[in-house]
Amino acid sequence: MEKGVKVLIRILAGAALLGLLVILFNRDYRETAHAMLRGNVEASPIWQSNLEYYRDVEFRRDGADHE
Amino acid sequence: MNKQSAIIAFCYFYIAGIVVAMMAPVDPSRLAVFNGLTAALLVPALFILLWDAIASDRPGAVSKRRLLPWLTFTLLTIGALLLGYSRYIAADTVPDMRIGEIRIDGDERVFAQNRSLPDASRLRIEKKSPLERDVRIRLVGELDARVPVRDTNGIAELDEEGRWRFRMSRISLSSDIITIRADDPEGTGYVIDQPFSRISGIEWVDGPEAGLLEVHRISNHIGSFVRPGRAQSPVTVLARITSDPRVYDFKTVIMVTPAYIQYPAGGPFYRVEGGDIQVTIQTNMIGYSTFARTEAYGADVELRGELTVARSESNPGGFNARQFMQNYNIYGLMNLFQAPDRAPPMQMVAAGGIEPREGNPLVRFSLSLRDDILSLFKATMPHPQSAFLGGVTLGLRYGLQGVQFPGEQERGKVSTWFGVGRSEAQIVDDFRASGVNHVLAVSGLHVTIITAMFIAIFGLLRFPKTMFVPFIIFALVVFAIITGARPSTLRAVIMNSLFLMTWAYLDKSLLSSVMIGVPVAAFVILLHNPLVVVDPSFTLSFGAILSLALITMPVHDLMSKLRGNVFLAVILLSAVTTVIAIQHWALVVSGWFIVPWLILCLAVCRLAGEISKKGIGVSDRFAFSAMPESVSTFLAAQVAIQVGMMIPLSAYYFCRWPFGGAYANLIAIPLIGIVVQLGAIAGLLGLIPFVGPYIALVLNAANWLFTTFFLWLAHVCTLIFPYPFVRRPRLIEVVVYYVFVAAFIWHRPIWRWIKRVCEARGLRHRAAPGGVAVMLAIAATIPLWLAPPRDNRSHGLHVSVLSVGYGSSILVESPGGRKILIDSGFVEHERGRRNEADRTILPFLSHAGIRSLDALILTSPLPERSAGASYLLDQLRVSHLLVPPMMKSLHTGLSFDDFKNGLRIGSQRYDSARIASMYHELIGNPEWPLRPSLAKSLASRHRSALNRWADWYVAVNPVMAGQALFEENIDGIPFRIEVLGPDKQTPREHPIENLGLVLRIVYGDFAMLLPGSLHYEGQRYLADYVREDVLASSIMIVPHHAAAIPGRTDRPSRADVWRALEQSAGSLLEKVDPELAIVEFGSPRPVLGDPGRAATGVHDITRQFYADRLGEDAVLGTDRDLAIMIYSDGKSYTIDTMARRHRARGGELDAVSDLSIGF
Repeated sequence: MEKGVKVLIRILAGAALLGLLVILFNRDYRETAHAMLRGNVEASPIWQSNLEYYRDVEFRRDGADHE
Repeated sequence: MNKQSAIIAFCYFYIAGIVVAMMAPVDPSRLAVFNGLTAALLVPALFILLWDAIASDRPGAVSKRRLLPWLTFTLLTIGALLLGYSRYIAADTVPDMRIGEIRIDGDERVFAQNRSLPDASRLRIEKKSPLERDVRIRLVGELDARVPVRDTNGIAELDEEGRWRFRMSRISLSSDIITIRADDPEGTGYVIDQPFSRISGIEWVDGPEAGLLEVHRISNHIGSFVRPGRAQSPVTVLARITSDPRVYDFKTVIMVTPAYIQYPAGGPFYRVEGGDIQVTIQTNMIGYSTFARTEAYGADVELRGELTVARSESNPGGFNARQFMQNYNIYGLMNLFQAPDRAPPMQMVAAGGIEPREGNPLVRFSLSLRDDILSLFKATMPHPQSAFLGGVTLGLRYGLQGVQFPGEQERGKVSTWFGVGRSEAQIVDDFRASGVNHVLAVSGLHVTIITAMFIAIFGLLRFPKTMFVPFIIFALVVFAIITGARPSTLRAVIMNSLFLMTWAYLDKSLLSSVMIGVPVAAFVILLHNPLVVVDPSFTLSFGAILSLALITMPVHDLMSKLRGNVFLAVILLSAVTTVIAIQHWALVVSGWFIVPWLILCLAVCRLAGEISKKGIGVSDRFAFSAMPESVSTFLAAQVAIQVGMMIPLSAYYFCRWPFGGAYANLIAIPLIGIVVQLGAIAGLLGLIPFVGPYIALVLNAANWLFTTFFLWLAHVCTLIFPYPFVRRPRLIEVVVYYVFVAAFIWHRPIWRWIKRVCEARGLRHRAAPGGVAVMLAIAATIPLWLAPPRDNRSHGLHVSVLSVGYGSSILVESPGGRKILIDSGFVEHERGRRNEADRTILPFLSHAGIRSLDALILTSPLPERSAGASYLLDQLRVSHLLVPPMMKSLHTGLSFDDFKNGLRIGSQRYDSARIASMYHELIGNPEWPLRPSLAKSLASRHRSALNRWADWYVAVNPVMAGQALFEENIDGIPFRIEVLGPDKQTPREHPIENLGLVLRIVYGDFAMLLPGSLHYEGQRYLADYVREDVLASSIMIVPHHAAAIPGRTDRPSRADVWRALEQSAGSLLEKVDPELAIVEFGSPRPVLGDPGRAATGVHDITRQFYADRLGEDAVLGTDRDLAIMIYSDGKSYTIDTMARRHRARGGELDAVSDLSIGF
């Protein structure tokens, strides 16, 4: 189990680092991060690319519109 | 016998009982006997076990006696066998209930009722004894008719407890006169049109002096209300939505469990006694958005529409959608359409008029959680990677349908991704062809990843395992619900839960929990639904886990013997074989190559071993066993999966084997572990208020790289590795294969046993054990020799007219054993993505064990006849390709103008899109360089030494009128295929149609005319200029799919069509004088586009024309009768159709009188 914990921590740490690099260098991700900070996820290029994918599922802000 | 063995044996014997029931089912009316027997065996066995558990320390305990354990074991196993047997029969059939009999004895006609009717019921009288003359009676009784209470909007109401509200009214009634015919055989059923709730007696009208009739109640299972085909009268259903709606761009699919059905329209409401309905609604339906969302789950609805049923397989070996759906309890289909100015066909009903009911709280919580995570995926992962992530972590694989590899969507944009070029394949096609499709079916891999992830998280938080295991099991249950609770997921959740419990509370090893977990999981799933035993999702999942558990270590042990030069030789030879397979698959599966190649490989390995002994070459430290344990076990597991699951089961279920899977999975399996874990963690952490979405964005940004790489891997493997069709093995072959796999798994104890036996029998010779092993191996193959052959049809001519929609494909199996395929079906890439070659013809041939053709004859360049040719040529050995003269130039360099000139169109009016489509399929489409075309296939099958070695060379020959092909004379009966057209005088109007081949198959006195796509002028020419004795045929295929549009208008009148038919088909029919006409028809829209509607209109008129002349029963069609199989012995002929086969086994219900047949 100890081994599994270490692997998970490594995966998460590596993924966080890699993710930050992607956000830094990929325009779509950069713009999405900006849109999130502005609180306007629906305007981000990533959300726009997903418009047709499960269109009934809308962005949920902190569980406010669960019901 | 310990308790674990007893449990394992019980579960496996239960499964064995199901298998026996599939192979030899008993009449459902005898189920009560089987249930009684099962109880008689299992109750004492359970009692003994209970007693043993209580008194295990006392002297009288079962385990301390000699015979009792064996008695218990016997009772348990036979009881389990019977339980499995009866459970399967009960699930597979819904028998009618016998409620009484009518005894006729002289003047006495007595109705003796032994069961009362439970509800409004449809009845059936069954003839049980011979009758001297017809019996004519009426049934007399009452009906408690239900009428729903409706609100002011006309919608049915529910009371506050969620029960449908009805007004009941009692009606006295007597049935119409029922005539039981003396001529009908015993057992014939006669359905009574009027429903009853009570029968008070019979009213005698007329009949003989003696006889016996039985009265049966037809089950109100939803399957007994469905009708196949179009244009059914609409029914009203009161139901509840019992699954999460599947939302597509253009429709939503919802599963409902019906409570009541009004049948027929205006008739009484029956309480439904089982079966679900799959409902499809279109986006234009009023209130569509109410249903196209997760919140619709659990709501009550009123539906109005046609209740139909999924089709059984159209061709031998085809996909049986009906059976597949019934395995999941779906017995009806409703496609609801919004009529203008009418109420919506589906309306939500509020309980007590307040608000719609909600479903199971756990399910609602799970689905809500899924939507939360999905919304995060949509916000943090671009499409289509988001669809992939949703598929592998949330089980939303429907979201991947129709999605192409990134960068492939834009037309005209070539080689956008790593120079891999363009293919039309969608992501799901890529996954299938590269052998990584299993990642989309949420299964053991995913559940294990999720389990490991939770264990690691709790480990990180330093929680004791006894505390967190119940939480993980709860999380796994939620995960199973989220992902749709397919058999593979349920199997994995049950097994992982057992593993967690034994690990946390009993400290048992993983292997022991696998050994007991597999059968227990299978038992639990099959107890709930025994019909899924043949479902690929179930079989592949259990095949995979058993392969991993049982075969991995023997493979590892075997591979651990590879070291030094031998190991190097094996690696190099595997690599060379792979390269050869990629370059020339046909060569690898050719006996002329593979046998010498295997001998060469063995010799090289032997030589490598000998060199090693002399100390030359690489050191023995270079060995499989020297790899890290995790790597070597992983490699052995991959081999185990291929041997135990992929090779036999992929061939059996799909007739294909993804060769690249063995390689792609080496990367895909570790990669999917990262993708699923990151996705799940991102989804869960993303739910944390405020900071969650940002964490999800960072993690999914990294995961975007991994998901993209995964998609790219599948795409590249699809482009590199072959995905060949293979001969479908028979069930007995699969069984014998697994006997050998079992022998490999347990080879050590088997070998020890053989040696003991040899010693005990005094066989001291060194070779004796080997000899016994060989004899046992030969004995294991005996079932193969005893089993009936794959083709046990009578000797003679067999012609199979396949059901390929609006298109043609006919297999001719000559008396001399030649296999000739005439036409190759239709392929469409844009509108409906239909590929009849891949979807129908190749599976049909694989099912029939046909991997090579003596000839492929293309009668016309029309797409509905020739577009599938390249796909067939890429998969089959074909000795000759025979074409009409206008198709003699088929090479990749042919320009569009030259191609058009070759068709001799001149100034004639043709749809330019249709000509372009022909060019693209036959020569190539520059916009889609990776798309197959006939010219490209032929270019790869030119006359080279390699192709000749692989028997892969194909000779192209144009044929003309006057030629006789494939002449044979078997037992004095001549066989040949005559070419009757085209000739030099064939009219030049409609050249593409009229200059196609006209063939006539002749075998002794039997003849069959195949006029291809002849237009009216061509038919008239044939009738006018070909002699009557040359045309005369017992069977005739109706030319041009019975849909040739006359004149220059797109919308001809009925009179125009009739006139054209009389002037051409009329005289042709007179000369051919067939007893039977066959129409090859299906929806023409995918082939013709908009003119398809006019073609359908013409078709109806043409069909009527033929029916008027030959009789209604003498016109068969591949749309209604499905595949049509003709057999001739040279004197007479017989006809069989797939529709007839379905009816014979109770599959298709055409008439009310068929209602009682099991469904």
